[in-house]
Amino acid sequence: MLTTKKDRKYLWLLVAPALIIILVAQAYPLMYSLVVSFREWALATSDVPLGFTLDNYAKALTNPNFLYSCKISLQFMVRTIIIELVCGFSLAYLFIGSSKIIKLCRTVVLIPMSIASVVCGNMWRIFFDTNTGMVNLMLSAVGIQGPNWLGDPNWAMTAAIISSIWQYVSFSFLIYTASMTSIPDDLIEAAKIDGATRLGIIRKIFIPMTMPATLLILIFRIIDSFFVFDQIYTLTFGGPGTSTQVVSMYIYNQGLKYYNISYASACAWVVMILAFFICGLLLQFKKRVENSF
Amino acid sequence: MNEKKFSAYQIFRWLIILLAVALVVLPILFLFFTSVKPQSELYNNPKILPTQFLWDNYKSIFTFESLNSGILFYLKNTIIVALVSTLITVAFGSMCAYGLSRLRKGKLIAIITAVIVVVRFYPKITVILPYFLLMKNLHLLDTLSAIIISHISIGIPLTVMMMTTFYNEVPKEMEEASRVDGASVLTTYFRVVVPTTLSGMAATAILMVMTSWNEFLLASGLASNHAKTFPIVIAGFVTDKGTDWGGMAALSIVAMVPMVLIVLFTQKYLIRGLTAGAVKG
Repeated sequence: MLTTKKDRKYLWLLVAPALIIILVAQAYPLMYSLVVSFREWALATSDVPLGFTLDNYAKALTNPNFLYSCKISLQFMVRTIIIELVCGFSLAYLFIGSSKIIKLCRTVVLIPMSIASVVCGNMWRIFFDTNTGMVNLMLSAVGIQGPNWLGDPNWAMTAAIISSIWQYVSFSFLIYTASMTSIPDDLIEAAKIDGATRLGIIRKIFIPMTMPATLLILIFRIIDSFFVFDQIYTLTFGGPGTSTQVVSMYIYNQGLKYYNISYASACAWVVMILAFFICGLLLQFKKRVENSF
Repeated sequence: MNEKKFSAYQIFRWLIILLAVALVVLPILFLFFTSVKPQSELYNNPKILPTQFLWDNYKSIFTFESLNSGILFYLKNTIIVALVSTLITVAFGSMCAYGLSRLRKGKLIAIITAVIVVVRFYPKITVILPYFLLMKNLHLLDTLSAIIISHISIGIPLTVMMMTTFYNEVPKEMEEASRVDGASVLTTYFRVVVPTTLSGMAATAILMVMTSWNEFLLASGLASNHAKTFPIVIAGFVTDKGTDWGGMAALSIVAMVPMVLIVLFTQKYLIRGLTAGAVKG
């Protein structure tokens, strides 16, 4: 299509409003936090940022509490994502079909995605109550003495993972479903004629053909679950002790509770760079996978 | 595959489907039960199913004193924020997506695209403090405008990424025909491209309403009182007497219902929007 100089001017006009909003309301705060992370600033001692320093980063990389919260976040991320991928994939496969009832069931399974994460956290907080919660009532109905989910450091993380999975399996389910419907039927038919078993077809066709979807889910969920906040905030608020103090909770406490502004910013940038690095690698991998088809 | 093996698989398949549906529906149902149970069945002698339905919790959250003028005030906030930010986001975001997709080449375009992707994905916890300071300097703290601006700035990258995939599907011939007839780029966009991508815009709008309705982190940093939206009220709902499960459950149900209805009635658009670009990358 011919694009003259005048056309380009008009097109830039379309881009401008959104660009201005992003620059003012996102890029500026983001850069501000980067700048602050290199300054000396705790609200307890000063109202304005002081001189340049690298101490915040040195402190972040050696602070055992910060490193511990990174470890907790990493554990949380790996566990939730593995379960989400496996459940999402299996459900999407089992839900293949076009009957009315299947379609209805599919919609129902998508519901948790529409619920606010704070609501979801609250809901599970009610259910995980030791004496009055639904989870322990059900367990005791079948003769099992349920643990003190949110009060016991050994169980709080499990509770957080369950609540997160309940909400986000629907996302991987949705992406896998979309990906599986684009697999050509002839391919599956041909494999069946060649005598392939169901498991064989899953392994040789479904898993490789949905690889771009898997990578897409990973890219989205790695960042979201590593920096999980809303659910933890309402479910456990990082407790008991620091047993569920994920990275976001740690940064939140440092920044908004103790007002160690520059230190909190430095912590945020350390983990953010790490997360983007992982996602960048995945993106490269995704491109290669897509080109190989 | 023989017939017997086939039916065994079907039984297994339907069992899992039923289990999945139950795992989604039952917690929501239990939450509802919690909100209507009498106090005695909630704490002293907890039961799974309520023996009678009481609507006291709903009555009290609609008139609750510590919630300012009751929940309606915050409901109004949430609706205003969701609608205004969705409207602006979808309008500006789509325009931007079209501009970027048709400008195509150039280093600057690549940089802008990269910025949009980064802004879409980076964890918002990083900017909660700068955001607070920014809004303080603009004298917008605890106003709906501050929350609307923050939601627009979250929503635009989302919209740009989604709408780009829809604009790439518009047949070139359509735009070329319009240009040959003498229409400018802008006329072509508003008269030809926008009407053919309305369903994409609807999908984006639905997703944006949900995002804004549920957004917690930035709004909680900006709204201390008058501008609170639903998620902030819910997260802060812990009374002095301890935790009021019944009231909390009722509040959660009220917040949840509109979004669940949106999923049920607009799922086609929603699914299209969420999976835009998921398959083709």
